[in-house]
Amino acid sequence: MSIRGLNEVVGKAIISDSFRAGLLNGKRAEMLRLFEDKLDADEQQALLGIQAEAFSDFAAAIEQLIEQREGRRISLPAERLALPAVGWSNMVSNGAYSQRG
Amino acid sequence: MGLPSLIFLCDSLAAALFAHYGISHVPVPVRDMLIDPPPELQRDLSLTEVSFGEAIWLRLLGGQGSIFANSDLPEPERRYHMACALFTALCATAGGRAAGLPPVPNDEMKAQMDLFARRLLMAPQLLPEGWQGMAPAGLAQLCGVPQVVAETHLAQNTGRRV
Repeated sequence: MSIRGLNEVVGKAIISDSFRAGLLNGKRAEMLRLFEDKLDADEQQALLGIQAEAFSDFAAAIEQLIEQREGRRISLPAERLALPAVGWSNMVSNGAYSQRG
Repeated sequence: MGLPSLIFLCDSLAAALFAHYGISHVPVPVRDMLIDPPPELQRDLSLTEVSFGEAIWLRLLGGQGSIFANSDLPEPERRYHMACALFTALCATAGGRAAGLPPVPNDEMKAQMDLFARRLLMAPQLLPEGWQGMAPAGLAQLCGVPQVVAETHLAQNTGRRV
């Protein structure tokens, strides 16, 4: 089980619009071939079997897959910050943000 | 299905960046990442070195995103603040929004940036075996981060007080 390989798929999909779109629009097998050397056959099959319309669902399914196979949480509870249940509808989303706070 | 956890997304971004740059050990060259971002992020990332503040990500009028980082800060602080600002930039990308990275700003932003910066600059897969037993000063020096950041990382990942 290559956790790093699975992480890389998700990270690559965040960074690359075309890769992310490919994962969701029927070209998933083609996209995953880029990771042939990092994912074993079982993992590729598992990823091909994920049903997701939104990329966040796909990423959550991969995280769940890792946790199920490893039989443990990825990290200590203290490291798992909750994501705020806020959408991206506001104008601030694409604007400036100071990291000081 | 719910959103993926933030730590999973942070680790995923770190893994993709390490693969892109061929990084296999600390210190992580965060400045180089900003100077030469992955092709898909070139509209979102660049580096502008200034002499004020810490580090801030801004999208300029033309749409180009840039991190304005204070080059006068000590190296560990500068690296940490650049990593924090990188997180802000990634949150604002289409991919970041699609993955469920938090909106910018939000009430937990400081903690979220800190988590990303630590998972990037002190990624467990880049650290030597037994790193959890290291002294904070040694871990900080190894990774090129402020000692207080290494202390937080050790406390969060080992539960021990440092």
